[in-house]
Amino acid sequence: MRLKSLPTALTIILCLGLPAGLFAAGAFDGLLAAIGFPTHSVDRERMKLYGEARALNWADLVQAQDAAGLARRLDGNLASGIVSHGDLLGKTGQPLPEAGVELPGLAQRLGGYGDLNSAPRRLSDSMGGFGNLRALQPRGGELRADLDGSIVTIAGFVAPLAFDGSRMAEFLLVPYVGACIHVPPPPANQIVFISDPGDYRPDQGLLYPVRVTGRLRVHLRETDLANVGYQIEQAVVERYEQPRD
Amino acid sequence: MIILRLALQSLFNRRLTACLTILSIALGVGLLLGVEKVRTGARQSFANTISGTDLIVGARGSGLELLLYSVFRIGNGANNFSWKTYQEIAARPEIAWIAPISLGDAHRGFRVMGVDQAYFEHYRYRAGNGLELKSGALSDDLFDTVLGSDVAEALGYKLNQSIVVSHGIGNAAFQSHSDRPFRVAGILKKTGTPVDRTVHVSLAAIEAIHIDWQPGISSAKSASADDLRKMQFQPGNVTAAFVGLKSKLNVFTIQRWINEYATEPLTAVMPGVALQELWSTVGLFENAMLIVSAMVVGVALAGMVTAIFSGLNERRREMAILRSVGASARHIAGLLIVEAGLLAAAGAGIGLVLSQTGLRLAQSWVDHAFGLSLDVSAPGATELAQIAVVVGAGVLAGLLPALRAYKASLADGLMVKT
Repeated sequence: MRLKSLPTALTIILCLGLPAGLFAAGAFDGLLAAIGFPTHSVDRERMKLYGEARALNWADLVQAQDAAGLARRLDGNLASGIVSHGDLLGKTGQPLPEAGVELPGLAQRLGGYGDLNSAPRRLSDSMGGFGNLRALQPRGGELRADLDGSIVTIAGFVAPLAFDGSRMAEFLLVPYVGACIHVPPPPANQIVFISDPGDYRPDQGLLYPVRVTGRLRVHLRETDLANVGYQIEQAVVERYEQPRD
Repeated sequence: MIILRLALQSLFNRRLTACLTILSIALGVGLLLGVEKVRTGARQSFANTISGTDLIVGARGSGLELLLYSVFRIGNGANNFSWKTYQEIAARPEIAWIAPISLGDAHRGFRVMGVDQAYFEHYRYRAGNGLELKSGALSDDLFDTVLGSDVAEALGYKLNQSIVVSHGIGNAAFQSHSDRPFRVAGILKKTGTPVDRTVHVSLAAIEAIHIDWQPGISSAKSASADDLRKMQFQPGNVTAAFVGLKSKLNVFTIQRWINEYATEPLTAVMPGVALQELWSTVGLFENAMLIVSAMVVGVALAGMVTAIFSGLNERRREMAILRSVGASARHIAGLLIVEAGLLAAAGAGIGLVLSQTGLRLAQSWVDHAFGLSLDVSAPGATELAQIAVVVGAGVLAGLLPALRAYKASLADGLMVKT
């Protein structure tokens, strides 16, 4: 009797066990991706290029000596959104993480939405009216040139620039969802241009943050291939995992 | 190997049933592959329609709508914005180039678009291809038009031909060629984008077309062509403008400045963001289509299992004969599994052929209807993986009748008691 029921048992085990085993081994994602379902998969080949990546906050991208001047301009409004990613994710009222940037009063202004409501919302108001809106080309002096060439990892939101079918060919990484109309738009030293995200297919939509790892380039002068500002080349894009505290 | 030959001969013996089973699997697989190809092809086509443009500016409204009517000529804008506003935007130092367009008219089913030379110079599609002329030249004259390649082909227009471009029906003067003829000055090369299905005129010509329609109805007397040429038309308003910036990092600030522009309600949209919104909206539907196609394949495979099962009873004598010549019960089971695998493989192969031919046939219709070129390429890794999964599922499905046959042949032995 046992010998005869063995094939039945084997069949059932095979039919149920194979997908379960694949799922457990994490190969299920790969199988789904192979047959065309949009899933998340990290470019492991590229990830191998990057060993120790330095974790950056958005505040790290700002020049330390500009911090005091920025704080003055921030008086009463959030004209330059120097916000760290941790603050945006709901941990209000906490001081900025150890970024080496002292912004007096900013933490108090960020903590509690009462401040944000009273701040003038329109970009034009904060810049003193249309007449004063001067050319907004990013200036080389506002960038951290010492970060050039380092392998970094930074989290942010995606603003797509170009598509190649389902694959996103170029995008801008910003500290908050680019369409957020409650604060002024991010200034040029709070945006990173991702020129080559590999085979990045956004499976979650633009409202979810991502983590980008790669080699940071700081362009201080405009060239044929690059504008003045931050760029990450050969980036690896993955879902942002909220750190447990 | 003998099992393979046995399986092939066994299937050939029941070829009618086998063919029907193969056909049903083929249809299911063809649907699955076709849906996948259309999905990726449509996305590729949409994404290839415009490149290198940082912002699109239009009257206040939904950003996605603005993208659809300005780039894809789907739908209409609710409003234009004034030339004065356009000039203020164009004067901003962050802008590298700006190309205004004016939409709203149609010529025998094809959209008429007012453009200026900046459009032909800066519009890019696919990975940076510009618009090229097949014949003729880009002229600036009031009554010159540049046709997309599909327009010229469908309507049989040649260079220097006179065509009538008018606003609506009812103005007798415009209907006759002699009074205000538009001359075909150039014909563009095929791009595989909605540009092919557009009649391009100058911005001033859009004003000229509407000169007799000021109160909304055509007036009794109308100006002659020479009078119009002398009138020096300044565009009064434009529907949208494509903007290229000197630095991509400024895009958010300029976008916000345009969106908050106090004199006139405007919207500026990043094409990439609007496209992503479109994919998110459509993505749910795409996944549903994929799941439905997968279920169709599942149903077809279930049909195959049913067919094999129902034939098992008649084949008991055949199994007994095979056992008498030395086949063990394991060989019988293996035979059935191989049969199922062969049916699934044949069905998948024919399904692949069906989807490829079907898509190639539909390609020209889609191009004609929507101005989008579906890129029907040879089957790639994804298609082959999908076929492999179908064949694997077929083999697994074959395990059930194989099991039954295994037990039956053990029970029957060499003597079939029917």
